[in-house]
Amino acid sequence: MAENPYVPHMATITNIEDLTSDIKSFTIEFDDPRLKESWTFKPGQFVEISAFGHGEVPISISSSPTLKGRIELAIRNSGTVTAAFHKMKTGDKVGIRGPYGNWWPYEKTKGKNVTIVSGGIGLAAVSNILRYTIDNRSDYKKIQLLYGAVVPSALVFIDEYEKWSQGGVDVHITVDRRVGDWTGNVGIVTWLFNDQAAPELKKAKIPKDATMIVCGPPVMIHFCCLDLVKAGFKPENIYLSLEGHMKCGIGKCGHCNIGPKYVCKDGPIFTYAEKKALEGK
Amino acid sequence: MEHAHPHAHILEKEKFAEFINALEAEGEVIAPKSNGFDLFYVPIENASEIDLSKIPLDCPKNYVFPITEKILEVKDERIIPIVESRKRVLFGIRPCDVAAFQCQKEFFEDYVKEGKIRDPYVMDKIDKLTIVAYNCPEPKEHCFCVAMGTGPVTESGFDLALTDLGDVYLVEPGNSKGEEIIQKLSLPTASFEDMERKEEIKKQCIEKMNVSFDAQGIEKIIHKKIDAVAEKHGKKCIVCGGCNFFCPTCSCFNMSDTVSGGVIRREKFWDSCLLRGFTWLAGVGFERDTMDSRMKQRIMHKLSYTKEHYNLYSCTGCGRCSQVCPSFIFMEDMIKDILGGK
Repeated sequence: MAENPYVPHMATITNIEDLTSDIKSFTIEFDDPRLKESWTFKPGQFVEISAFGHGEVPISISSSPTLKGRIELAIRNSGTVTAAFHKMKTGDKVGIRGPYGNWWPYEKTKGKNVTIVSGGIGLAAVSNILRYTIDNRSDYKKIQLLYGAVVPSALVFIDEYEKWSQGGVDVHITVDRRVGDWTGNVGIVTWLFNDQAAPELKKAKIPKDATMIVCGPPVMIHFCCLDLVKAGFKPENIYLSLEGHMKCGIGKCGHCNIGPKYVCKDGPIFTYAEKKALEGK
Repeated sequence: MEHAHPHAHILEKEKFAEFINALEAEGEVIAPKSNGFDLFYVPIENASEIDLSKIPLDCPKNYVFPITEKILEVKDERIIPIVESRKRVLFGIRPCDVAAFQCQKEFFEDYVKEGKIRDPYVMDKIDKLTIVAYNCPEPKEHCFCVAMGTGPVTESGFDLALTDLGDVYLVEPGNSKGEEIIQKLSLPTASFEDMERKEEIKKQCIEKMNVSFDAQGIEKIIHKKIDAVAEKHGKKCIVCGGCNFFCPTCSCFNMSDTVSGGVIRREKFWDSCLLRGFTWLAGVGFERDTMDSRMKQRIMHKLSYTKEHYNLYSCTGCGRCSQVCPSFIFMEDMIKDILGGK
């Protein structure tokens, strides 16, 4: 019998870390040792994770496929199922289906410049390709990260920026509002590269031919893409991740259907050119 | 014999019960039956329960895509998939519904770009179906299958097709399975004259349906009028989802878990794209917050997107959405508005 795509694999939470006050990172390992060995994905893909008895949600894999034997998922406490995850402990069982969806252009950007612009928890959906490029550093030219959050406490993976810098990434972090003893950049993430005067922020220089990877809240994606196009980047060369209520993950349930596309199956990654074509659909 | 038609056969009406009994060998027989209000597709025990007098309000999709369906259980940290599939005979289904099963099949099996994902919950049931179609002698109010190219006579997608010729039924096989059933029953062959009577019945039904428009090619012009049409008709919508639930091709669903007695059950159940909460995403909001945008998605899906995906309109012209709409939003009117000025 062909595989039943709705049936998750049993897996165990092996580690939980608080990323912010409402975002936790879960490390998950498949129970089946053979699956643990063979299961892989491409950076940018997502899984459907089950909190049995509560339901299933689509979550981007934040770890890189170069990390073997386990995956990491950053989950914000924002609905009934995600709230159930936030109550879980190490050793608890979850179900995993996938991987689903398409992936960031990690293959066709080999030998090229890659710039990632991200906001808030959006970093968890691009940290996969970021980590992948660090692990395969010599395959790429310049790798750059422009990341912002509302306040310092909303920055995710805060312990890793230094490591990423050392791994050869040009890291630029900013917050919208200074809180506490924050000494870094202050300003919206797009100010890092657009022509907005920003005295409290050190501008980043994005290579003109960089492939742009954008992920964050819809409003950030919207303005970021507008600014990038204004700065001369081609819509076909700007990749972004769309969100949808991807209930089934395989293009059947209909919830993430936008126009003729299914975010879960045709995406979740689209170029800005593709996204514009979907507008008004 | 000179006048014998090579494939079509004849079923004497007094042998109808015998025919139904023979079909039972192919699985549970589901057929239209009156509940005093309208006709619904239900399992029948006796041929006398079957009512072919009018087009059922119900569509038979429930038998491949149930309203609610348990898909798996989790017990003692073990995940147990539950895929119900049983041999069923769908008897007396109309050409529009035969066409609808083609859509369901294309969608749940073939519409994937990379790698084939087969939905076993729908496909296992479809694969075990025996479809005995019934060509429509009479249209019903709101019928417009002629405009969608699906009826009133079915051309493919069935195992057997019946046509009421008055004193007898014409029985035509749609495939080798249908031929085998005919052979087992040793039905006499039909004459070319019988085939002409079928054509005459089809002609009369088309005349009575009196459809003034042809939707073929609508996908090429739909973008010009869709916003205005979705707004005009969407305004009347009270967001009950009835059109989705009676539609033979609508297949959107949601899933949820329940827990009882230490067993977790995951169910899938019908959902409706016209409900505001359909595109709700926790922490983000609604992809389609306005009624116009939801109405537009529904019409575009039926008349354009599935045509693009698998070359079929997912509106079969059955008219059920129009029949059940409490706000008198009629699909045929929306199509006419789109075609207007073509």
